[in-house]
Amino acid sequence: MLLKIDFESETPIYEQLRRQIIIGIAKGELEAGEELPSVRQLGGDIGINLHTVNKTYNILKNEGYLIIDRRKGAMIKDNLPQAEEEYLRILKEELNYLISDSKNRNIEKEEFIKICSDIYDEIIDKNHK
Amino acid sequence: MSENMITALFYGFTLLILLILQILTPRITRRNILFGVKIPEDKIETEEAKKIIKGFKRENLIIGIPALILNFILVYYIEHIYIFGISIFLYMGLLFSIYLRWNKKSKKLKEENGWGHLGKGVVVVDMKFSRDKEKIVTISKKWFLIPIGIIIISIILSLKMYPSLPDRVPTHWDWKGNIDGYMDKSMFVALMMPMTQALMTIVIYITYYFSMTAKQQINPRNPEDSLKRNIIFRKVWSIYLIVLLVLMEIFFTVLNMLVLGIIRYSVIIDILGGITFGFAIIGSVVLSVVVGQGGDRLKIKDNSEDLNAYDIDDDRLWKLGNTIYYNPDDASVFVEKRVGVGWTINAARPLGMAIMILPIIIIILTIIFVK
Repeated sequence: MLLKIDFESETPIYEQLRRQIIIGIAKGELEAGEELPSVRQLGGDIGINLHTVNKTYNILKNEGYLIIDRRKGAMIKDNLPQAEEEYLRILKEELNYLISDSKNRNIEKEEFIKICSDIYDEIIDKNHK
Repeated sequence: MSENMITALFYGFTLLILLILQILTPRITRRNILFGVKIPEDKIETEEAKKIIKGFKRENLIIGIPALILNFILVYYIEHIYIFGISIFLYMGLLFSIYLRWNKKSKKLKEENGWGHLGKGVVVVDMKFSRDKEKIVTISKKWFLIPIGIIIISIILSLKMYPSLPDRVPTHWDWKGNIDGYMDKSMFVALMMPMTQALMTIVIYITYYFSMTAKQQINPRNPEDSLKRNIIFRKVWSIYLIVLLVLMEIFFTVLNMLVLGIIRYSVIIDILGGITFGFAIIGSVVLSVVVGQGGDRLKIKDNSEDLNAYDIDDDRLWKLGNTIYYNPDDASVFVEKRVGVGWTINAARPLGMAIMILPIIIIILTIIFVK
């Protein structure tokens, strides 16, 4: 899986990394049980401090995406986290903001839903390939 | 031909290789680097960039060749080992100052044309490659068993022949094959060659380790092809290193047999030395030109091109005419060289700093002890 890190972005690097790993899992580019590079390897290859990678791995571990094995390092969990009440609350909150922002910019409801639907399809499509 | 002439010719040849490598630099460096300065890849084809490359070549020829002849004459007439060493350093300094001048011009060109801000700069990293590169990019470590086996043979020969060595052991031969240097018999003299052989193995192994662990550098415009180039680049160089090491070990074992008196001097030894030396130089020049830095000059068809993607502009992290990498925020110790072919260290990491200072300490210690 290819990671693209933008050093000038307002999104911090650890967050870019976290999001891309989650997208990678959804698209099937990272498989269940797959070992991730060590923090040293990945930090070195991106050209960032290894603590940044460590931070991402720890967040993903707490979210239930990774397990960190002492010998093998970070691995994608076999059973991914489920949408619990807390998650649904965050999802609604994020969408609330995104929908409002879109409405202000005159994106119609249908258009917004179509964008969502297309992205969802694309992810499923990738996953089946 | 006199001994002086041979020495001077050998010396002149060394300088000539330095000059050729310098002139080849723009051809073997990555295509988005103009004398250490990062520019958009397609801009290397512009008239301005071509003019800078041409000017650099011309200046090297105009200054480099007369300086070479001058040094050659100096070494021929003043026969002294120090002159030899000092003038090589001076010559390298001269070549580097030429490079620095054109590095400055390239910086100016980039600034004048606004090549620094063209679009979004990204770093692309392949997760699998990051994880598995130690397994997939170089040939197996097990190949080092061959040179180690040869060294063991050499050590056994030394230990076995030690009792029967004469009190004065021949250790130097002139170019006609006559002995012209002796050392008193000691364990040190007997094991001199095997120790040199072990040292060579360590040096080559470190370089091999560089090629295995160095940071991946992927062109964001076509990541997949760039990755392929990178793998070929590392694999080819690791094979070259192993072959070179085996040749050197065989040659030095033969030399050891000569010192130990097992064999007599013959032309075959010269031929073997010539093959080893030739492979080292011609092999590395050919590989550099054909493969280029990071596999950048390989003729592979590039597929997907994302023309909006650019490498991040990291010029400020490269010091001293963009030749020394200093980035405290980067976890990698080994990175691709900015100019030329091969790897260098991140001087901001303690291990990197140690590797950089070590040769200087060794040189100083050698000078103290030899005196």
